[in-house]
This record gives sequence, C-alpha cells and structure tokens, in this order.
Amino acid sequence: MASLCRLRVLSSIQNFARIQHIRSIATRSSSFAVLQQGLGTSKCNQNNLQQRITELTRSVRHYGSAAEMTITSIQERCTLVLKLFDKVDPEKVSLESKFAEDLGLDSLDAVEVIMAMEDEFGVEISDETAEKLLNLKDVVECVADRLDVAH
Amino acid sequence: MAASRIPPKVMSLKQFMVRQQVISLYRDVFRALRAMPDDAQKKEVKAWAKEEFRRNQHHTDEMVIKMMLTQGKQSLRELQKTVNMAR
Repeated sequence: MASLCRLRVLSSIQNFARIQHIRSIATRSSSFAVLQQGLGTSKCNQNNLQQRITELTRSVRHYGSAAEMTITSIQERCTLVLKLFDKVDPEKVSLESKFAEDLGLDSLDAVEVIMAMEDEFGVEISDETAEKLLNLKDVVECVADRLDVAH
Repeated sequence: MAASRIPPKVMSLKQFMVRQQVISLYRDVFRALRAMPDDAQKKEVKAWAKEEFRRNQHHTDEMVIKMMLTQGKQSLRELQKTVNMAR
C-alpha cells in the first residue's frame, strides 16, 4: 500500500514536471508567434497556433484527481449495481423501493448489495451504518457522504 | 386491555444477537474474499460460502446456530490465513 502511494506521488511529480515543460513550450511558441506576426505573417496562422497550445495544455490529465462525482451520477451507478444484482427484478428498482419489502431481499442479500456498492465506489461502509440502509436512497446518501459530495 | 406494543413475531434478544453475529460473519467472509488474488477461485469460494449460509438458513435452534457460527469463524480464519499466504 505504501509503495503504491509512493508510486502515485512520484507519478504526480512527473506529471507536474511535464505540465511545466509544456507551459514553457507554450510561452516559447506564443512569443514566436508574436514575433512572426510582427514580421507580417497572417493572423490565421497565429490562431492555429493558439488553438494547438490550448489543446496541448488541456490534454494533460492530472493523476491525483478522480472523475467528478455528482449526486445524480452516484444515483445512476447505485441503481445500475442494484439492477445487476441477480435476485432483483430490474423493473421494480427505484430510489424509494425498500430492499426487504419491495425487492424481496433478505438480510444476507442486503449485505451483498451493500458490499457491491462498496466495491463500486471504493468506500467502506461499517456494519452499524449498513444495518440502517433500507432503500436505495439511503445508500446513495451514505455513499455521497463518504465521497464528500453535496446532496 | 393492556395489549403489548410488541408485535407477536418479534425476535428475542438472544435470537437477535445470534442473527447479528451471522450477518457480520457473512460480511467478514466477503471482506476476506476481496483480498484473494485469483478471480476464478474467488468466485468459487464466494459461491460456496453463499450456498453454505443458505443451506443452513432454516435452523432455529440456538445451540445449533452457535455451533455453526463457531465452525464458520474457524473456516474464515483459515481462509484469511491462506489468502495472506498467497499474497
């Protein structure tokens, strides 16, 4: 685990260095473009260059940051996980449907569903919390809490 | 007319505690399985564990359930040991 962490830090440092490099290229080429313009080259050329630079800088992905999560995306993913659970009738799944009464899941199935949600989002839900999650809405709220997403 | 507020089909405290233990054992088994490196094996053991719980679901005698709990915990320890060794 520690080595993984170290690796991640290392790669983010590398990435930072790469961004810095691209920035320096960008400034260099834009100053070049200004020079060219001063010498009478067409403005269209400079626009192209500017575009290329923004493309270059935008295509860099920051390693540390995960995909942006919103409450709706969490809802969608939770619903999908529940629908894919083999004992659940996908037609019956809604945010309000209760695991025990509406979907016909017993306590062991509920444990499995919560574990599947943990796997999906990479969060840990404790036993005490898991007991209180009776429908999909509760689960979504719990996951959003864990991921620091406003809801 | 002092009717009890407790519905007739409610569990006793002891039954509730045992039930809680069974559920937490079930969860622990799944947690232990997460660390298993081989996916095919993981699936197999998961299916086996599930079946074992389902097969003994009908038991109501507390002593029997407690005995099986102990057995299950032992199996879990063994599983954890094996998984740790495999890593």
